[in-house]
Amino acid sequence: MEIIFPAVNIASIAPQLIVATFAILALLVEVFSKSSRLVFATCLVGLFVAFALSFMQWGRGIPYENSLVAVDNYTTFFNALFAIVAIITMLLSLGYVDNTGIDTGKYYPLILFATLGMMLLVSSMDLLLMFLSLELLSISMYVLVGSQRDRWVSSEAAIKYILTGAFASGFLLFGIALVYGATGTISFTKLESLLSGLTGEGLPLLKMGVLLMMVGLGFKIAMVPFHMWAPDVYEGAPTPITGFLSTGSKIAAFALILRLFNNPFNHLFSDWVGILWILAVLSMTIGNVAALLQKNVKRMLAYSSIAHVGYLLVAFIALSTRAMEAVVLYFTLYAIMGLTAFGCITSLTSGEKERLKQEDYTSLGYTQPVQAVILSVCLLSLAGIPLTAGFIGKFYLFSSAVDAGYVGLAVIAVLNSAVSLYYYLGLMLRMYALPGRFAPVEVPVGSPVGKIVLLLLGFSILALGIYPSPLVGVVKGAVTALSAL
Amino acid sequence: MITANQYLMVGAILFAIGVLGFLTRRNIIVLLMCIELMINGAGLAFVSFCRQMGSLEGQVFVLFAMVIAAVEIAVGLSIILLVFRNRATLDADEMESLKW
Repeated sequence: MEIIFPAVNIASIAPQLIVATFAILALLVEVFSKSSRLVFATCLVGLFVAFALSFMQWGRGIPYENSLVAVDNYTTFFNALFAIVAIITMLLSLGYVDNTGIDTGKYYPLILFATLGMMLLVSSMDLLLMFLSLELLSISMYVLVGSQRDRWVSSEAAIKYILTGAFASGFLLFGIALVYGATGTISFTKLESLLSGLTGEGLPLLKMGVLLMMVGLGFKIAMVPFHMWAPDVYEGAPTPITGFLSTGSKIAAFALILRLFNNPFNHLFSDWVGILWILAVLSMTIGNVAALLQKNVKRMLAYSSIAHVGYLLVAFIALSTRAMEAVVLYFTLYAIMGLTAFGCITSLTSGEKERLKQEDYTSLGYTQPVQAVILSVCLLSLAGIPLTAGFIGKFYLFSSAVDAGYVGLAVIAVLNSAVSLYYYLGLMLRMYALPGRFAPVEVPVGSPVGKIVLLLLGFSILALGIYPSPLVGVVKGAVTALSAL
Repeated sequence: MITANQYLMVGAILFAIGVLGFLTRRNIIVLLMCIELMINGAGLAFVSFCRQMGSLEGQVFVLFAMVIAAVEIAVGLSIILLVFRNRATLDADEMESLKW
């Protein structure tokens, strides 16, 4: 039997290969040198190289009739985004990990493996690669969530995450089996051409398969009604990992859903509009109302991130080019906001004690002015106040929904934003409440590097709120690749 | 004569038993076993579809899915060990320090 080897263009997946190589290299460094600084440096170099390579790939799409990996601007954009998210997560973890009993030798390489999973997930053009990269991402995340071995909440979060996550993967796998059974192929390009002509007995099987796949992916993006795990896991996980989870992992799965409904399952989208309409409303409302009632800041931000999934679904329902641009733009802005919010909580940790309760933030503006200002900017942006990045993002999202005729949905979304103002501003006002007595100043452990990163993030929230057009241009380029197939 | 459709039914029933077990049981090791059942049900569905259509992609998929299931169980059991060391319990209802 003759085996034909496909022509492989290794350079086209260079960013992914670099991340994989450096992750393995970092594990070897850990074995031979035991120096956590060296492991950190190896991982950081790998991510910077991957970022530079994806920067160079921009605009050089490679046709992918038979390949498992799509190399186009959409992929390249997300490769760069995930590299940046991982770099920021690593820099924010400095100082935090050493004080909270995390094995740094495994922690940083696992961040790289998770990043590799995200990159491959967005670029996959095949159900097999999609499943494998989603699992690579999830399994790395399970371990990262449980990496504070001495803290009970971390273990509890990890067991809850792996049980719900694996349950969701079971649904995803069965859904893929049904899609395969209905069409006989697992390649996105073949699926698309087959689906336009599919009628008769394969169709119910296919619809059932897509439904099960969406249950699996819905868990990963923490969409209502599959959001139950998110608050528990976000609260229990180490804080930098919470930021990583709420931005990187969620964006990767959502970006994959965009690709799925743009290319292979485009013909089925009309069935989904009604369901997604209801899920968008539920995600926004449940997320915001539950966030109002939270005493724990991490948990409050977890519910707010569920609400943000709802806002993303509002524009996703339109599925026009403009709506896709709005969604991808919001991914980027949300990544910055999520990392800043959880980064501020990370850098306010002193010793082993984290500031988790709302009360811990009373009058913080007078004792920790820098973090308080950055957190305030971030909260204003999450609420969608003008002159911040969050406003630009929400404006694009809701206006594209109105353009497509979903006025009612946009009105509900705006009302929800108004509700969210209450808890975002509540925390902010608490930070600037006049203190009854000045508490002794606790020195946070956050490294100066973390503080500089936070300053840059806070600055970029303001800068993108005032002058977003360069980013909007890049996002337009990325979305064109998605619809050009 | 057993047809491919009957294998498919067995796969679907295995999957359903896994889902029901996951939703009703309390011991976290049993929960992991239920997830295994779901994955194996999906695997059986893949193989029977392969048989019907005479294509190979599904069989390759099953091999990968088996590896993934093994990895999930390995990580899952090590996390269960961590939980047990911290609290000496395997009852899912006692994992309740994180709630609102």
